[in-house]
Amino acid sequence: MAFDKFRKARASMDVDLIPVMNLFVVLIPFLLLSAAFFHVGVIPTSLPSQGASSGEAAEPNLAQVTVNLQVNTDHITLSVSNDALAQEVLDQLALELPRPGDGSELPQLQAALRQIKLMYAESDTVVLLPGEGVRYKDVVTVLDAARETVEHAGEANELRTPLFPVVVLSRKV
Amino acid sequence: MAIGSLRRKRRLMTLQLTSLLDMFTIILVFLLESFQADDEDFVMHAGLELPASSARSPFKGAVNIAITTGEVLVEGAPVLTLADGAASAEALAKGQVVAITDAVKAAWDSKPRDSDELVATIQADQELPYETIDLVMRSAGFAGCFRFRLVIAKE
Repeated sequence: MAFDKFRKARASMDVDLIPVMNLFVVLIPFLLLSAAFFHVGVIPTSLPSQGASSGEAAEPNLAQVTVNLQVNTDHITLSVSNDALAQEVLDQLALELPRPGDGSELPQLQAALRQIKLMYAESDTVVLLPGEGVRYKDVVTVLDAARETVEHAGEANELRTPLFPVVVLSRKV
Repeated sequence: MAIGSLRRKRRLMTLQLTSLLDMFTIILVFLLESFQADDEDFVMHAGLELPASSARSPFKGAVNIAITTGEVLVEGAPVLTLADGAASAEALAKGQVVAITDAVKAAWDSKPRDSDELVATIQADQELPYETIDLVMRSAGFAGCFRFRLVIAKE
């Protein structure tokens, strides 16, 4: 009898895992259905404005320029436009970069855009003009370089600095 | 000896739940970490591969346009056939595909919206020539859509 009591006491100390397993069997399929294994984002863009221009011209802003990027299969042409600035000033910022195909031109492009942003801090618009034969992924890569800079400060830290976040997609005629 | 063999037969067979529970706990923690409660009216099309991008803008609902290498779909309905990602020379020369314009307009009219500005979400295969995407955007522009969201895969 004493031995039976001891045996019963030992049996009751075991943790019953069945209810916990029931909970997991219900939770895990639910979470599997809602899990996101592939994350998507968006790049906001717009077409050039096709509305009729108003009679009053916008006041020229000397601290703001519009960057134009002509993306071709073998080179990228960077130019800058502002009605109030002299053409000689704008031409000094123009640049043509060869595209070898491995993306090595993108750091140079970003450096040039950073320089423009430093000189004209209120600038925020880039007009992209892809040429014939340019692939969509190349357009997205150039957009990434033009919209912001990403610096990795440590393992999980990213420092994002906007360059020209307003994107207008046009096309060379 | 007879009693010993009888005792062995009467020993209950127990299931080892501890290791199974360990596995479930790890899976549960991982799934809880990737749990997303947002629900957007957006379906990834299987026939395309999105370009990777460092963009971090969140996804918001709009008229959904998918461009694969074989067709253009507006809200899941095919409206234009492509030949290896390229539209016909006639469509490119004209600069508009009326079917896309009408489909975008109809989709926007039927969508519950929180603003009057027509916005379209474009998911396109990364290998498509830009001329095709430009044609689709311009066709949507004839429907009054001048703002677009290019869907990308986060790097």
